[in-house]
Amino acid sequence: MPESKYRNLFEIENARDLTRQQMVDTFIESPDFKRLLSSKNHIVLGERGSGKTALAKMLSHDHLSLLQVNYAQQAVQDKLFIGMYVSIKTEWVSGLRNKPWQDEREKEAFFQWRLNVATCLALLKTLRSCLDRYIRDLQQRVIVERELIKQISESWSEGSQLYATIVDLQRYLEDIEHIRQQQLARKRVTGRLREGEEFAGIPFDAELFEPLRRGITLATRALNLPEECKWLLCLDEAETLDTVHHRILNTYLRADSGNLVFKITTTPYSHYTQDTNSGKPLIYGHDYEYVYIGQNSIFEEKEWVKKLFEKRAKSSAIEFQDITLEKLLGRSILMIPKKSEWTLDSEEMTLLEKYSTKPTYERAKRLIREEPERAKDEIARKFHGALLLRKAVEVSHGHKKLDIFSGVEMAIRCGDCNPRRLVRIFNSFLTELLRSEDKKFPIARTKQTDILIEFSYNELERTKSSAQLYEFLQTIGTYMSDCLHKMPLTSNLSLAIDVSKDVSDEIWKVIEKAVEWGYLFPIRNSNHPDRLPHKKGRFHLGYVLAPYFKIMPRKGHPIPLSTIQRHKPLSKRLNTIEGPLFDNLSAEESAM
Amino acid sequence: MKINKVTDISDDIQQKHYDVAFFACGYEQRSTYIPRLLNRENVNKTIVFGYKDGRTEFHREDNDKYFFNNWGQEPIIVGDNDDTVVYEQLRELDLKAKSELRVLIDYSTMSRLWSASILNWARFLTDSSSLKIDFLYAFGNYKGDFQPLIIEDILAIPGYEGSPISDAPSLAIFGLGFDGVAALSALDQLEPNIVYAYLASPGAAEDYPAKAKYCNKTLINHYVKDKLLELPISSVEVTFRSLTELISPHRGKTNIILIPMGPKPHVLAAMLLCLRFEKEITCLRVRGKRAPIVDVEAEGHIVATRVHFKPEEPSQEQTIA
Repeated sequence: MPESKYRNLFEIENARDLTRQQMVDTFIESPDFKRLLSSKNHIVLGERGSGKTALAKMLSHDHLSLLQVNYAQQAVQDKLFIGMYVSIKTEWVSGLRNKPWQDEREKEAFFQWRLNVATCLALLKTLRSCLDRYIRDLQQRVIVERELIKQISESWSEGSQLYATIVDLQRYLEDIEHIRQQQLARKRVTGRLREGEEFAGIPFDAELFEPLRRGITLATRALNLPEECKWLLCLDEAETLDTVHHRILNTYLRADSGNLVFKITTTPYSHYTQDTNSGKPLIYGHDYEYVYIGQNSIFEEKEWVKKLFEKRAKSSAIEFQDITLEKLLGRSILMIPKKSEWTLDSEEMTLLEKYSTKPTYERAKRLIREEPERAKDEIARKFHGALLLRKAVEVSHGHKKLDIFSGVEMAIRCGDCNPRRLVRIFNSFLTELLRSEDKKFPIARTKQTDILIEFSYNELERTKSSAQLYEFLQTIGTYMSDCLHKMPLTSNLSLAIDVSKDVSDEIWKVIEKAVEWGYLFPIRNSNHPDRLPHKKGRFHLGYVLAPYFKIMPRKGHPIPLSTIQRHKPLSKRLNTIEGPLFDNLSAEESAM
Repeated sequence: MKINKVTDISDDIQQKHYDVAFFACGYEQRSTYIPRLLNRENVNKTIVFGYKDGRTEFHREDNDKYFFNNWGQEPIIVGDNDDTVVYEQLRELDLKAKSELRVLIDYSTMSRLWSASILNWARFLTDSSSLKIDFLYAFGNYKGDFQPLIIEDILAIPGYEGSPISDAPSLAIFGLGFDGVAALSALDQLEPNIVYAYLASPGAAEDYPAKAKYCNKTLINHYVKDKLLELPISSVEVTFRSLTELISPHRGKTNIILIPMGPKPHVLAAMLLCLRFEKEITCLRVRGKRAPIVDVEAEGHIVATRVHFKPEEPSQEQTIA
């Protein structure tokens, strides 16, 4: 059996860690992916763990050629798109930004040099895939490879190094990267290079992407590629770069890059500038488009998540093969609206009388009597979950354990449509199943609730490395929790924030970070789903935080951020750290 | 120069002779603990780097006066994230005609960028046939609560970039201290394929290992699990050797990244490992701020390590024709 059958793929939350075959087997292709397989420049936006790396990797030729989907096979067969994948990893970027002594020109030149080497390495990997796919005869393939690599290595070394295989040329590129860094270090220490020494890899000091284009030209001839063939350069994790690097990349988005097309992934608000080095900024829609991956519509969410689970389970060890989400978790009592039993003397109405405002209760009574259909929509649907949750939390302060954060629909919702988050949640449940003695299905609701609350707590804990972010999320979450558990309920349940254009730069930066990390989600305009709000907009709290704050994982009614800032918490804060976040309100916000 | 040997040595430094000694002058009382143990007559040349920030905090003014009065040196002011001045001073050192060079570095309160710079200088030295650097570290008592680190950036130490360009899987080795959240944040950013960690045990205090495990429980429980090493804080030699053994099976197959966030002797071991296998390992530093600052007093114990460098064979150096 293939190795992947023995592996628990739920333990692999990061697309980087999947083998090529695992990636292909577990990939769920989507309209966003199809959009990317085009000759437009795209900037793919998505919070951490939203699947950007998976999309970018799947565009690369060696992955795409394995994807058993018609349009993908057609693209590969007809040589319409050839993708190359470059990861702009943190550790790679860390070697760029650690030279504060360089002036702007030197920094740019060094970035371009390193990116030239990195993209050429990516090209070599893609050429391996192309040779394997398009030249079936082994002998012929070896001959073509030898001739092609000889030409490319001659070009990339100005004739000083000639290689016959892709592997040898890859090693050469890896070596010159290291040698150049060492030469820079030596020059820093001693003030100069060694006698007679030149910097390594001088051909890569050429204009950005020029060595890559040369390689593509030679490959096009060797592989007989059609004129209309587009080379997709997928640059992953561009959020790790600086503004100056983005400006350089934008210059190439703006220019006519011929058969080279750019697919750049980054986190929301991390396309740092529209400027280019040509003096003219990028024009959205003309030079590039955003593709904002992320939360699907509620209707698509459950089916998509079920597919995610099933694909992983199918590619994992045998003990997971027959498990479905429903079997594992059962249904959610909180998320599934009960068939309406909202009669005047029902338990629901008793709870409503207890927890809501008098006008709300009176209105509910009138609607039930006079307009039962409206009552279903405006009362039952809106209040059902909130009432159950409030009661469950109240009762759990006694002896009863909380069991309300349970069920398939709850687990899915707490995943925020974020593949990495969902895989981790699933893994937590499966680990519990394997650990339990009786392996009973579904996992006990109280246990599910414990797992989700702990998961939620750990997610919030991670934000402590940014004191302001942690404090910000605590403040919002505590407010929403107070609204649900300490104040009379109204039909406008507060679960989202409304940010005005007067928000201070400092707080806006925190909001951006929260969106980047997937703890706040912009409520998007359906007419422009790929555009992010800037300094004014509505955001809902990541549903992953709902169990921790014991609030409903729903968008709810947006509340002005300024209202939240003025609120004095009614609940005890579970964890606080010092941070004068709201001491630095803008004058306008202070005056509100 | 290449690292030939890393050994623990006696902390009895009173009688030892050095061609040059490097000290750091900050606000901690600990800044002058080791210099006070030395005999000034036994040191030919002294260089004292003084932190640009905190010049009126705690013991800083006293420490400045101490170095001036006792070592004839006004501290050379340097930003803690700046190595320019450090290299200027190093380039001015006149060490010709010394077949064996003996250097002392008191890194108790030294910025790791400064100590890394001195190590860079050592590896590119061509004037001597033997270089021995004695690293000294004084354990400290923190006179206040340990403040969490707020991360500003993750950078490779200059000269310790390794070669992370290949798409080989990445292996991250975290040196853990009390900055659990910062370590987790760094892990989130790096997203390595394989994660190991090590922490000091025995540590500077009896409860150190338990405290470090508690601070890093999420990272340990979810990412490291059984790949946690416990290494003595007082032996750089053992830590260096253990880390060498740890990476051995992964060399040539992974991009190895070291993120030492624990006590300074462990940071030193990590930097030395990176120098030893320079192409294969990236050594990162997590730059950030703590507030408020606290004073640290020396508690009496010293970790002493000797690193012996020898000239590199011509064939060992990689060049491009």
